[in-house]
Amino acid sequence: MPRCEHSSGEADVARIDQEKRTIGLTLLVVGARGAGKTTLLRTLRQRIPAERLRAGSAGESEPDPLLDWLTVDLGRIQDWQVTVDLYAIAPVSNRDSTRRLLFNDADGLWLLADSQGNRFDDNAATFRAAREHLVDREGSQRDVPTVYTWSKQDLPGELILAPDVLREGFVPGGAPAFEADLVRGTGVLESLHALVTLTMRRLAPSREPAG
Amino acid sequence: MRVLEPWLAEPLGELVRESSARLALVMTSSGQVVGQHGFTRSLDVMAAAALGAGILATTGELARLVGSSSDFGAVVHHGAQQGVWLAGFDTPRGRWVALVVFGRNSTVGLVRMFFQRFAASVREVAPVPVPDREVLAEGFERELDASLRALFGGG
Repeated sequence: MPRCEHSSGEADVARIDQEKRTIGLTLLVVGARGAGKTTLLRTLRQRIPAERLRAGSAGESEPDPLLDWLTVDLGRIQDWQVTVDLYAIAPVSNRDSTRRLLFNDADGLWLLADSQGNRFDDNAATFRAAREHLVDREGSQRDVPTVYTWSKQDLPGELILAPDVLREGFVPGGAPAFEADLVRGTGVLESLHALVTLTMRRLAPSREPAG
Repeated sequence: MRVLEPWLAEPLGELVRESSARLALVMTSSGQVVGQHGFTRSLDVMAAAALGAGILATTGELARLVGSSSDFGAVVHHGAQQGVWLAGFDTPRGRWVALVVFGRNSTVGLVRMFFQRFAASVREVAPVPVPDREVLAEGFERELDASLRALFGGG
């Protein structure tokens, strides 16, 4: 996978093909078991026009319990064809090599927390493990754009934690966080929009301001 | 043979063919593999790349300590059955390292000669990295935002 090294010397791994004018982003959807990763990808499949879905795992009928994935064509932006590969990774998997490769190559992280109060510790453990896995091929810790989504915010209030509690518990700094009802799609596209924007912004830190 | 970028295949193929190399590995100076020939296990590739880059960095530092005006150029280990050639070279993508393992049907001189030709070919054919602002020109984010809004139905 070609690497893009920007002016700060920090290596990004987005696939940039100068000749074909294509950019491919790899985004990982990480969440505890039952947090809604498969539902999230299913919602994306339903909400995004079919002609923009380039590939993916079986989806609704036969979701892959270990690695669900989806490729979205964002279309031509200026003269670049931009695609996004989304991989939803199970927290426990016998595919350690696959997981390692994906974390090596991830351009952005989509951390999905189950809003139910009794899942707080599971969320915390999953996010902690994700950060530990997020190293480059030399083993150095990587810092990639991250967006948080609080799933199941449609459940009764006595079962879930409020967004500000979840933010306080999980979000370091000012990373974007969105409340979501994955089944109805609320917050899903907004989260993806934010993550793609942050990731693309990271690819060009020296870009001159627009306008 | 496996290469990370297609333009590397021809120079690396020529190096392997002409020097009769058993194994060849091309990596960045930090050990990121960009091409290899002859390795069958990815673990071996990664280990060899890390070791090769480390050895070259070590000898370069040693050269500096003993007051050499430049590094030692190449490191050669010559055993009874096979030898190892390890050398750095400059490319438009930064400094890279080549590791060549050769048997009794080749010589250090032959490997050195074709390594030099390989390094020159890489310098010639490697695409020059485009500055970031050319990759994502002014207004890219605005267009990206508009495209995402259109795609996601946000107006």
